[in-house]
Amino acid sequence: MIEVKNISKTFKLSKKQRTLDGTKNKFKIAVENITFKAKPGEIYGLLGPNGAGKTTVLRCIATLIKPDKGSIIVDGSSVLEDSREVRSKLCLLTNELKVDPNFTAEYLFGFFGRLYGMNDSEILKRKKILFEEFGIDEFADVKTSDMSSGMKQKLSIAISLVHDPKVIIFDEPTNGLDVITARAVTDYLKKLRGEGKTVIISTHIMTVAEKLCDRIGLIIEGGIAAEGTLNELLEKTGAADLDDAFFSIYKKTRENVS
Amino acid sequence: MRNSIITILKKELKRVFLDRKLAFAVFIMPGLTIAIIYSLMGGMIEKLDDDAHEHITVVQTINMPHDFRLAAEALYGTGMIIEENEPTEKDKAVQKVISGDSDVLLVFDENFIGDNREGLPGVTRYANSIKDFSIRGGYMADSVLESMRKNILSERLGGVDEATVFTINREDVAKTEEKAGKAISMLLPMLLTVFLFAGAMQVGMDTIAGEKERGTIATMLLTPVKRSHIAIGKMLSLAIVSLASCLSSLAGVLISLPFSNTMFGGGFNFSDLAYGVSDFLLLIVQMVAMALSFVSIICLISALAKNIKEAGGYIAPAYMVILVMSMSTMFMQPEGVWSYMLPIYGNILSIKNILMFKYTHTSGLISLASTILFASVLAWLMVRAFYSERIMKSS
Repeated sequence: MIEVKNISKTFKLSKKQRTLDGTKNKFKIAVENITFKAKPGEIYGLLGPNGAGKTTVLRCIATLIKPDKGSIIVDGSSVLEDSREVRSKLCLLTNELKVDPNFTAEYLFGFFGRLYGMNDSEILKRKKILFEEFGIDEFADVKTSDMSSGMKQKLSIAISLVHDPKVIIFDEPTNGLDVITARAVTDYLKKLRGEGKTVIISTHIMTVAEKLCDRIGLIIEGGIAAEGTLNELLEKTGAADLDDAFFSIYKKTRENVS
Repeated sequence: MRNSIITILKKELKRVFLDRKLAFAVFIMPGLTIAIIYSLMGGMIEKLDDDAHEHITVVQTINMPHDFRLAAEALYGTGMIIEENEPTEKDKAVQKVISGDSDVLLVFDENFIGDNREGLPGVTRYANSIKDFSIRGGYMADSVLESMRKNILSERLGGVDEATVFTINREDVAKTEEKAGKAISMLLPMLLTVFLFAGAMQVGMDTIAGEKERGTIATMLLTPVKRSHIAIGKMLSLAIVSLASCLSSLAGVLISLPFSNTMFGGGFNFSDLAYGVSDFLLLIVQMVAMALSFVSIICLISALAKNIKEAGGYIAPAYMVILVMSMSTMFMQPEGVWSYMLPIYGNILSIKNILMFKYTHTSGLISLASTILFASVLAWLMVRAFYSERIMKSS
């Protein structure tokens, strides 16, 4: 279970960033008063355009950054008060996370397993399951610098899951993946849901959210503009599909802001 | 969770030792380069020396007294050729010194040794200060003139003893090993300092700034390992790499010694260096402290930098400061205890003292304490940087 309660996060903008954004404000509110819950055995999707604040929320949950206010509880542990305990319970998957190019899949899997405090037999057990699941056995002894981007992505996912986390956070799960790898990833996320894990994904692709998510939080301009199952969102907006529902809510939110 | 430090340390060392190109660049290349460069330079200096000895000095003279020729033959024999010129040929003779066709021109006053002259006789020496053979020829001409002066004085005063007035007996009270120690301590502390820093610099930038740039450090930050443990693991591995690289460079110096003795001052036997086990232990302790302080500088800069390029830009001035600091110990003597309180500088002085058999525990401990305190402060700042959202967000 993940409980996000009224979190806000503001970033200080550098001079260069202010010039790029065309603003004189030294601070940018990335997210404001975000509240939602993700339960075990469901995939919760944060859907929104680029720059809406999805990644900021996920990074706050993963303890990479601290919210300025609000609280986040992951499986009973507070992100602010017990970040290490939280990190032992979750994994964050993102295209920004890279694997060291100097080592093989075999070595890196063991290395991260040890960092999660696992012993050799536990690592071996998880390696058997995950390497088989993602077909890593075929390139287990290849240095990551010699791997294709698909292979690296698969290895990155396997490494993140080495400690069998209860909570899986996936930032843009299908971004940059070929059709086959993207399908393998989405299928695996469904499998994790079936195992009772709590899964949160962020995406800006409507079809991914439609097919994958049990509940969706529409995040627009740093706040949750609407939340519910796909049917609830369609019902609320009277739209035929998620695409139309999103734009209807997006338009209303923009009107309210201006 | 102490295990996590060891896990990270092992991974970092594995990365360096298993990467053949990197291992070659860090451990073999410095020693090999130094051995080759030092051997070449030592050989070149020796060749210059040999050339100087083989060169026959040409001295042109005007109004030369016969006594000069006698003194020259007695001192240098066939190593000096004397050419006599007419006073009218002076300009031509000067041109020869300028062009290098001859090395020195001596113009004696007319009637140089004659009795019927007014005032003291003089001799003007023309030499070319941009030509090595001419400089050396000038000194040789001076020696001949000095010898000639003594001969004339002896004749005038009625004997060599009357002209000598008194003798000087110069005794060197320094022990043989101290002399050898002084010679080696001239350059070696500077070399050790530079090797330690250079060794850590190569790998250090990649270990932290490189991992930030590649985005691989974020994967580690997501594990439950304390960020301080990640930082310490990286620092310790770097200190080991730095020391190993330094030992490789040192081996390079030792290999090249038979050829580069002249670079270390020459004229002494390395078997005279009677260092004991305790000296080597003290040397290692000082080197470890210095390695830790260098590693802390490099790690802190790398942690603050966004990428390797930026880290390199910041580390270069730090390298220059260390270089100047180490070079200054070649020429400056420590002024009291405060010199040892300066981090790194105190270590270099202590290393010099060990090599010169002048080490005292008071100054040694002061230098160790100040450097370890300095390294600890920087390490603490580096750990803070690992906890900083702003600094680590680029990963």
